[in-house]
Amino acid sequence: MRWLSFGTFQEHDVHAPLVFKLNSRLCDFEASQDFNGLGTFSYALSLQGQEVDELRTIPLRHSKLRRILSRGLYPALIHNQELRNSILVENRKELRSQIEDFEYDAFFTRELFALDEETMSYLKSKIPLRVLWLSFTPYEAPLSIPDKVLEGFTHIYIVDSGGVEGLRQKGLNAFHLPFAMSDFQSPVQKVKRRYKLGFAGTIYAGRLGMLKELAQAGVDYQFWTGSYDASMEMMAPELKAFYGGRAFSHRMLEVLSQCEMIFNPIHRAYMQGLPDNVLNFRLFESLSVGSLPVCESKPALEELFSSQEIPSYSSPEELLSHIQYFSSRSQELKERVQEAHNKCMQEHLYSHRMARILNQVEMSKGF
Amino acid sequence: MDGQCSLETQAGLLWSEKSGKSPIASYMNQNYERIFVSADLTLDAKREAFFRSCLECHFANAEIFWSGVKGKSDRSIREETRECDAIVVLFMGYSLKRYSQNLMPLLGLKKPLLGLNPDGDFFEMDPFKVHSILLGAKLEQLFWSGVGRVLHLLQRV
Repeated sequence: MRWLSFGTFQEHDVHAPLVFKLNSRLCDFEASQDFNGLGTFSYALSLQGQEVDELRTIPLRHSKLRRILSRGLYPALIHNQELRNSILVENRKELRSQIEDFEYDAFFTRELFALDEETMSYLKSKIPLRVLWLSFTPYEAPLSIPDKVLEGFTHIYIVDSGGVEGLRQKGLNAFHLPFAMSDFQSPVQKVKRRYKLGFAGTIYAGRLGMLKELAQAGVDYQFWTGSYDASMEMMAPELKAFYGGRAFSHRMLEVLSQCEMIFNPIHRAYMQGLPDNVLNFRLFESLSVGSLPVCESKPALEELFSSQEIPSYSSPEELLSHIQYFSSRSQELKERVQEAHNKCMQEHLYSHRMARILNQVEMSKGF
Repeated sequence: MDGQCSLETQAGLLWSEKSGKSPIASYMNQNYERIFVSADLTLDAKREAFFRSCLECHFANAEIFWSGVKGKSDRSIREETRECDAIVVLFMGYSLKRYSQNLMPLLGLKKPLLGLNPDGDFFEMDPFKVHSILLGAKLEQLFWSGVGRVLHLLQRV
């Protein structure tokens, strides 16, 4: 089948070393090796023998200075609704042009809000299979859901198994599909493990408390985030000594690789504190660079990994106890990472997930 | 914040419950007699009980005036806080700039200004520093919004 994999300009794209095909709207996902962005999904589809075009409607994509210029464009988009709207309109035009110029059997995206009713209706008239893989559960996350757009997808995949039934009751063809590890080899090569423990990610309610607790317990760690600004520094000045700066895209993989263990609270930001049962990207990113993720306990974790592979915690005491245990057992730590990594390679790569999508798509449409 | 209680903070609440620690910063004066709590937030019952317990625990001997500044004149805020030894502002997130409207009227009151974050931790707020954070955020917003406007116009041309 010929697939169109679609994505718009995201914060990740400011930092990702993307390569675009000349005289084309398409991203060269194989050359880009976009480890934790849309490219990893497109690549996984292509590994399943699919023909994939990846359309990323990213302004300035053919400019050699794209990454520098987009650092200015992204905050301008955040702060100016008019610009954001007009760029969205351009994105949809580009999407239509691509579909007009080529014929596709299937459409794949991870972005529900980039499409409007009109574009969805156009997509429906042109592409028979439309697949959406969301990081949140519609109607459970406190987000305003464009129902007509959602209804336009023939297959909807969500990372929280608990939400599937609710979507099916609404007449949607929904399935559970957890995150996985990228089929791309990690761009980070072997580096020196400088820290026993690290954290990289957004800090929102709950996580600051955990980081403070770790500091109070005397744990030597380092954290990287875009959230530790002047406000947060005022709230938690004691964390300044542990702050390593901002880290996105490949830089994030680099800092993760510098840590023996990764402190991994699991919660999708979209859910804004409401309960969820998911895995996150960081779990697989940590394993890909050889760091052991010490994860927040979730049934979703137990479904994929045993406690012998990935340690989990459900209280601060348990977290500290794991950190203490592995601090003096480097060999065991390495073995655990290796075991979990091997399991990912055998069962939890995105190509495995795409095989499931293709299987379901073929069953339902008779391709 | 526009009086909205972010559900995001439930995670913070959970963590505070799990940790079982007393959300008290020991360096702050616990002998205050009257505390003005600026609570211009829509709180669910659990969250409100959590904040109240933090306040009662930390300022065990103080009278606590649960109030707010939204829609009040500077004069009435001054009146309300006149007899208070300190002001505590409640936060549902970690970004001060979202609370600009709640904070600005309190910065010139010459009373100790404390924050209570969603994890139940108190922190001191230097009015000058708060002012500079809010001003910096406003300038940043204006700058990038202006850049966005120019780009939008260029796009139309």
